[in-house]
Amino acid sequence: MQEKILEVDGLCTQFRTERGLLKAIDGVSFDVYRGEMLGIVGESGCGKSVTSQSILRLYDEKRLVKYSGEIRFEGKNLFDIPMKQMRQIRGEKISMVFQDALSSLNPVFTVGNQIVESLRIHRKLSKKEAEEKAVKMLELVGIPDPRRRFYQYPFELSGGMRQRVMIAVALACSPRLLIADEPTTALDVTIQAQIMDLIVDMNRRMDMGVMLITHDLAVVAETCSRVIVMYLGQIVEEGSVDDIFDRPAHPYTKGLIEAVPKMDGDRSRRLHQIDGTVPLLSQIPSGCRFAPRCPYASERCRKEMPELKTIGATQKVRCHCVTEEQGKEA
Amino acid sequence: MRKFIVKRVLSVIPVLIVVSVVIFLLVHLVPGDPAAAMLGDMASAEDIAALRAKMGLDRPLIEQYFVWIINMFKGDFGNSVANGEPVLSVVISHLMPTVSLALYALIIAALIAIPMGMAAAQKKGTVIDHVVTVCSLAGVSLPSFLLGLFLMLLFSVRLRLFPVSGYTEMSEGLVQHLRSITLPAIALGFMNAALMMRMTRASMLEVLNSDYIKMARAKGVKEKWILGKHAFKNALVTVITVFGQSIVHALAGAAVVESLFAIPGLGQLMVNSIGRRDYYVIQAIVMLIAVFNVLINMLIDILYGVVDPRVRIR
Amino acid sequence: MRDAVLKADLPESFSGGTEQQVDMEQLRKALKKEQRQIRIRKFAKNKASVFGLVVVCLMIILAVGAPVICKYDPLELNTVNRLKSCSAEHWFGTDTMGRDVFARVLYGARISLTVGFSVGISAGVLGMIMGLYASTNKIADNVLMRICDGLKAIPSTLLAITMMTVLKADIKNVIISLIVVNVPSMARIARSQAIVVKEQTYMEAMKGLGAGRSRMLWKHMAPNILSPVIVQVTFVFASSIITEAALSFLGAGVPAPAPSWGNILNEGKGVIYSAWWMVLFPGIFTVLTVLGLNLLGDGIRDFLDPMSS
Repeated sequence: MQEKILEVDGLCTQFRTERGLLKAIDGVSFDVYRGEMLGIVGESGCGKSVTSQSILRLYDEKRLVKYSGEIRFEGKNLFDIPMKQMRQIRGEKISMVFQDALSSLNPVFTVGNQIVESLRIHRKLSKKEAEEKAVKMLELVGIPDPRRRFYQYPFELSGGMRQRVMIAVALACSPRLLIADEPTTALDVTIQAQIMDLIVDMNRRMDMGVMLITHDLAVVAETCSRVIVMYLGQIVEEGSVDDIFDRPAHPYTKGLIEAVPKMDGDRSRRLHQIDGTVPLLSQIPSGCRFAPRCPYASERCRKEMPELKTIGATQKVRCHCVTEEQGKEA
Repeated sequence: MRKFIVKRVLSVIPVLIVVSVVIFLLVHLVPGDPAAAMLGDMASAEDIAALRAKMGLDRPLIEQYFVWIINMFKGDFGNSVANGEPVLSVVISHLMPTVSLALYALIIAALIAIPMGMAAAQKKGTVIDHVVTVCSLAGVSLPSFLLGLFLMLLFSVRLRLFPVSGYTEMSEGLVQHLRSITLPAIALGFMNAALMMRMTRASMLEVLNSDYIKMARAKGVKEKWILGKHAFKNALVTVITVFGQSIVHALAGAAVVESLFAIPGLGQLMVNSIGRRDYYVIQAIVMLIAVFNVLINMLIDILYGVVDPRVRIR
Repeated sequence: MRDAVLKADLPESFSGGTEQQVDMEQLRKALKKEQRQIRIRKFAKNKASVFGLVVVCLMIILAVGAPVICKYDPLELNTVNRLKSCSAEHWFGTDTMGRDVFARVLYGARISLTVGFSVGISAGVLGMIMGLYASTNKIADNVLMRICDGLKAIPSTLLAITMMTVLKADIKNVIISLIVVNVPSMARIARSQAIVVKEQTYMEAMKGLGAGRSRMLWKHMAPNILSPVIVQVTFVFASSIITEAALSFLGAGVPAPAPSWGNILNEGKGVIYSAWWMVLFPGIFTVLTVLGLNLLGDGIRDFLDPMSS
């Protein structure tokens, strides 16, 4: 295995609300290795975006949020360092790509300007050098005629181009870790594939770790080497792509995989659906969080929270019903 | 960009035509005969008829309108009924105090309100935010002439810090000049300041919650720059609008404040002309301010285009 | 337990179809009722809007009950008692002609509220008619909106002053000119809302079902554009009170002996050194009324459109 670049250990993110603290992330731990693509999947509201934004400490810590746990990066706990150092890491060492490029790029600055800004902050390049480098970045992410695009505004580009620009902004300083938060959700299917190809390509070329946050299992199956499945602010299953897709252990993971339509599937069969909906954060069940929607839930599941236990060389699962033997059999 | 400006400038013409027709009709179509009203109740029928002929009121309405417009382009707004002087020179002689007062009021308002609005947005829920909220509420509920009266009661009558009324020309010393218009400027500027504060706060809040600010943070941009560069340029469109509106508000509001503080500006001229039934003067002032308003709005739109590239294309 | 019950229903049984529909209807009603209660509770929780409501109600009571509450006639001259300060006899003192200021202020509330109310309601109704009509007819839209643009280009106080110069100064004409001043913005609001409503799918659906035009306009569009218009009516109510006071203050409003707040203030300004009460009390009443109406307007907006804030 490659070296670890990021270790998340017992991350808890709590939001201050009118009704007190709400725990959006509850004890999430995982590692990201150099050069790997790690997929984080789950339904909307499961905490995958909150996890990614907690890593960069993007929430307002004075008023909105309370973090605990540790995020270790280059030998430092990111929660211990002052904001000034944190800013130096953002965009330089850890970068982020957001879902909606149109609203995430500043509408009143040119595309080139927004790449240049990153370079000037972190690399202290002169204006000219930064502009040269920015044009190169635009070229690198596959934007034709980069010199002309440099002077255009985000709204003048197509959706796919904008997403490429955002990737160029994120990669400008060759970060060690790229967090891609639903990078293709807002795009057409054909463009989605192009953008994913670009991210995979960049991942190989720059030898950086990529955290791909998505609800699209197909994308994860095609691109990632490891997968984390989240439900209601907790990791419910973790493993290699093969583990997750060939031997899913958690009932939730199984449900997610079965819910994906298959090309060779029986058309007369109804698509599988997971019963019920994700409960609100304020109404989290006391036992296993998935128990109310789980077809196998027992009395124990409703009372006692299962631990995340190792069931194979690379696989971990949070479920009472799965024993280590079962995991090995599967 | 040039195309955008030309288009915007041309679009002013129809509005100006409508404005001029509205003002013209206001004075000419409303029941009551201006000539009779000017001469008062004691005038004989012949006198009225003579004045009507002199004012051109006996001719067809359309003809009167075009004569008025053409004369206006020549700089001829008619003669004041009160003293026979050309309206234009009467208006010009009353211009300076109004401009001075409006500028003073606006500068104070903008210098206080825009930073306050920005701070309130950034520190939502803190003391400064509450101050801004209360001020902006007071601003819409406290008309300038009332605030002026209250200020007079407190500062002139009680504390005797400022003169109750009267106006000192700039030529007699800047300090004296500013002293004489400080209370009126506060009275006039308060409502504008409240409006600016509220709008700046609202647009800053909207901008600060946007995705591109999050993205800028994720890029490692300093908080100072996020506020001053990324957010401000986006909020600027709103701030420009409010500022432009405030100029017009200030000019219009001057009518009441000037007559309250006895400042010999356009507003006082207008109010005095009401008493004298000096239609031409009123017509000219209203027309000038309306034209000014339309032009300011045009300038604001062009500035939009400079600040926000999206507007240019539309 | 509840989950078990829910799950038991899930297998594909089509027999319960009608039963479910009945449930839906009841559920919808219950939900609507609950929503209304939530809104009322939200309104009641917002101290500012409740304060606004209380102030406005109080003003109405004072205005209506003026003859009962005060023992003086607002026009009764009493030259012996000129410019007397506040006392048990004359709560707000007396004015330059010995009239009781308290009585004048209360009767002034009648004038202000009458003007504000009639202007608000008439401008609201006219604006709504114009806005609705403009949203359906292209030519009417162009003509009406250009006229509105022209009227809006003239600052409202100036427009009102100009009209009052030409018209005879009385309360009826003050109301008329304030309606003219306020209709354009009202029509704009109604029009833009009407266009939004018109473009929503259910309006298309109505058209598809063959609904007549006037039925579409009044039965389906009017209720949907009502909320912003009602909110604007409260704000126009408030601003009309200010403009009326300003007009009277300048001598272009309700003519002099009438106890309008603007008139009292105008007289008070002349004697500001000796008779502060003539300025302070009508001033406070004006500010309180306008503030109350603005707060009430905010409350109504939150009540009608809970998404807005």
